[in-house]
Amino acid sequence: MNSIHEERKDLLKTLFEQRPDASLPSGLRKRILKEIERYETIRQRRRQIFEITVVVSASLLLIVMAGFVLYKLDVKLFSRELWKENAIYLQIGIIALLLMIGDQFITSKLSRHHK
Amino acid sequence: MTQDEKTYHYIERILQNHDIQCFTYIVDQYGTQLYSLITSIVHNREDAEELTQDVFVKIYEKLGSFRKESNFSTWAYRIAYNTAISHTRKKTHEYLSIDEGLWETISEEELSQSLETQNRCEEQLELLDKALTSLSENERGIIHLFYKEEKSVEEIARITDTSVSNIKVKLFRSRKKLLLQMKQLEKQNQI
Repeated sequence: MNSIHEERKDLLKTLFEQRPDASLPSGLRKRILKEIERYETIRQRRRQIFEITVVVSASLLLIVMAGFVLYKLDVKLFSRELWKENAIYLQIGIIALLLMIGDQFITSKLSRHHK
Repeated sequence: MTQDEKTYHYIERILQNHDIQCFTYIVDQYGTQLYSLITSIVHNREDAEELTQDVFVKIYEKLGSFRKESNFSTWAYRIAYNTAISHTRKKTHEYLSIDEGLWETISEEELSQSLETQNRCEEQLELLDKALTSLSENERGIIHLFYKEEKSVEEIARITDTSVSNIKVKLFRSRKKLLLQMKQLEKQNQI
């Protein structure tokens, strides 16, 4: 049996050598690349949705936690003193939010430009 | 730069930048071989085209899990082989039966010699094409990898995820089955 595996110069080998190759159909290459492009677009979109979901969930969690703390400490949310004392935090929050929106905007613009 | 080095270079670029253009190199380099293997297993052009498309999407999807230590072509062949085999499992096929008496009594050498002397090349090719349909998908894949792609028994074992000894036995059986089937078909033609 070993001779079969070591020595390929036999009738079948000769016939397989003469057998015409199945070449890749012309349209198939294009279809494959199109399919890959479609897959990549879906993957990117999924990743974006995942990132946004994480950010939104984290923000909501923080808001809920803040609400809970304020409720527990019995802090009046609409009192003037509270807003005056914590104005700096509000400003930081607004700046962070604006930066995040800006980042999202620039990223989507750049990826569209790249394509 | 060797073909393997080029392939690894492009794979890195795809993984880093998701550069689809780099994937065209992989399609151009391995497309024909994979399509040819799938065609030999499924024996249907439309199915083969669809499966080749699926195989390349799988390759793209799994590129991150590919390890440089293993050969890329073996890895790609493995995906193609498994995809084609699992596709054929969904369909039931009937294979031509072979005379058990002939199986035991005639040696491979005798079969090869009688086929070689009695037929012209075109006739032999025609007989081979018909006889190939008598093999199972698995056997056709192994025969194709061994004879057409000239893969070693060890490589075929890695591609099909079986042991080397198992591949040797399967090759021996498939080869004899093929020659016997060719002989039977030749007899039928003569009648």
